[in-house]
Amino acid sequence: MSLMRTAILLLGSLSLMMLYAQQLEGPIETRVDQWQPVLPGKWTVSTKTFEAGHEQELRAASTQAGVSACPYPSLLFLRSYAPVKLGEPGCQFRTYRVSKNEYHIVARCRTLAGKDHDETTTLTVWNEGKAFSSATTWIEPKGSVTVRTEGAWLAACGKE
Amino acid sequence: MATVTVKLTNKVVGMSLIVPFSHAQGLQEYPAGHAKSGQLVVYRINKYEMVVNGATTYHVVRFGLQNKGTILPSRSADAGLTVKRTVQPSWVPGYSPHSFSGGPFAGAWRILPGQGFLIHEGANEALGQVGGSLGCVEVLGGKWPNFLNELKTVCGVNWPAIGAQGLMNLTIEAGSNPIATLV
Repeated sequence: MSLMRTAILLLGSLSLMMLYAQQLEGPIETRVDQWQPVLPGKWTVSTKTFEAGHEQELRAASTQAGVSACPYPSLLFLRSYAPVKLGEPGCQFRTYRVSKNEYHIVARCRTLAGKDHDETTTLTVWNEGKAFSSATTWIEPKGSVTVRTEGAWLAACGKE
Repeated sequence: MATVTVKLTNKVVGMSLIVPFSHAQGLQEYPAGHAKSGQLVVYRINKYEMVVNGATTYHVVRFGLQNKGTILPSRSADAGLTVKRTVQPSWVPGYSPHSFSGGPFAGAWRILPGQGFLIHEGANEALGQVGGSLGCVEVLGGKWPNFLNELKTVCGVNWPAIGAQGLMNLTIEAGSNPIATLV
């Protein structure tokens, strides 16, 4: 019985992996001036930062109203969250559309110090592009750090 | 073994996005408290045509912006080569601004001896990349490998030999610093 259960679980996992692989057919184009995973406009954005193994927040949570995603909302996500200074090439982003409302973004950035810095983000969008949540993780010497962000659309872009 | 002619023109072929950069501060970001805090400061600027042997065209950025900490609605480019000249660039092995981890196309061409102006790989816009630019000639759109392969094919020798034997004749057309517009 136990063997059968294991086999079923394995088969189930394999099916899920195959489904996942089918959906991840290479990175999509994310040209800054063309990719719009959410609506452009003013947003309220809340951010919490966690360290691996600690449920308490690493830094005090922050909420900022009036965050500008104008004219390119892609710049909310095509960025580095870690406190690193970026070198001349900045970051390349390999973005996979996992489902209609979910993206995985793998960022590889060159730091000013010349090292590569990697971040991964899971972005979920709903309410027709007027709400999102994201989780971005990177590795630091002490362990991994995760930034969780919630966004709610406030208003359309005005005259900047 | 043959020579190759590369012409860096002043023909504008569209716009590209760049971020001000400095060796001390890196790419410019909006400061804390700003409505775009943490996002890159992005400007729209001209991109130009570069032609190999009168036939193959590449799109390049050739003028850049220094990161001086200021954010202006528009500003004139303040980095780049404006004077007309013809030179034989030398090969800089291992230079790898964008081909992370020293891929097979790491390297660059030094335009003027002893100076920092290079021809190197530029941003791949399709991957959401917006790089800094300090006046180097940056081959856009993931075409850097194509450019290098074409040089090797035309000259019949590898890149260090092209540089060492002065096989590349790079003609730079005069150009004035364009205006960059904040987006």
